[in-house]
Amino acid sequence: MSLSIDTITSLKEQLKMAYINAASSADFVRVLVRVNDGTAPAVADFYATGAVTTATLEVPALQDITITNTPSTFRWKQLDTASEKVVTSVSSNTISGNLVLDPATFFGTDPSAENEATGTATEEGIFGMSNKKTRVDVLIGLSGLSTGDRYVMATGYFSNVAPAVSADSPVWVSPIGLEIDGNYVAGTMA
Amino acid sequence: MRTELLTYLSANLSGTIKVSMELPFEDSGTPLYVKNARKVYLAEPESTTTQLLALLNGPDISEKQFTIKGYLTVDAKNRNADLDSALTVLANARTEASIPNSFRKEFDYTTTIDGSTMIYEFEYRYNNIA
Repeated sequence: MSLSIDTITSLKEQLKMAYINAASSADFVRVLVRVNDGTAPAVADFYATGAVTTATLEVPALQDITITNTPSTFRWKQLDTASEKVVTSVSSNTISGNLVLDPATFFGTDPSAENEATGTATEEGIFGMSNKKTRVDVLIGLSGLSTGDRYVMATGYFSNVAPAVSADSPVWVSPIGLEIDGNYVAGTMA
Repeated sequence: MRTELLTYLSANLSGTIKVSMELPFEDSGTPLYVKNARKVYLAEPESTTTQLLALLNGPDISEKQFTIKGYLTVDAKNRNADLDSALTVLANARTEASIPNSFRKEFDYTTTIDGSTMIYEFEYRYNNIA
């Protein structure tokens, strides 16, 4: 079988791979968190008209971030096959990462909000929301939040917050986790 | 940084070995620390900035290392009686001098014999968040 030049060119275009750039300042990963209001989150809750909305906390100084989706599996053996059979069932979804502590965002702008019935994400800070077991919405812009950028959105709870410093470490760092309640929502910024 | 070290050294080097406030420049081709034995000279700080922590969403956190070189020449034939205590003061200056915000403070020295003199070349290193 022979292919025309046009067909080969078309196939090459289809196979061309794109990358999600996270290295330049316009493409930095952005993690936005806000207190869940009892409804499913929308992008506009976090980011509207080119700016982070009021009461939304932008997590700064991230060292790394991992979005994990791990379906559970059910395996069984059958007499008529040589290998195990498997189906996937419900997923366990978590987001994890590490950050350098920034006092305003980690402890919040209003420490007393931690003890109030309600407080915004910026008031409570990451530590406050973890301590209060606040249900939060999170929006992760994989390469910024410009039109066409990919995002992942979810609702969950902070976990695994463990700020630490050592004798030879000049700054406090902490792992952070988010235990996700339900599915992720992935999309493209409008 | 150099000022703080000089303040500490001038207050604590009280024997035959003293500290000079001058920079270790050369006079007629001879470094001052060779010309004026038993005087500690400190050079101006040099600095290098390197990445300490890479961040995903902002400027990296950098560390700045300041290096201050120092010199002391002594008689190699007739060892100063208070040389050991002077070297202890030089070493203690690493932590005792009032230099804030350094998360790592290091000091070391090497010696070379040049004719009848022994030259101590020492170095203070301070690491700060840039």
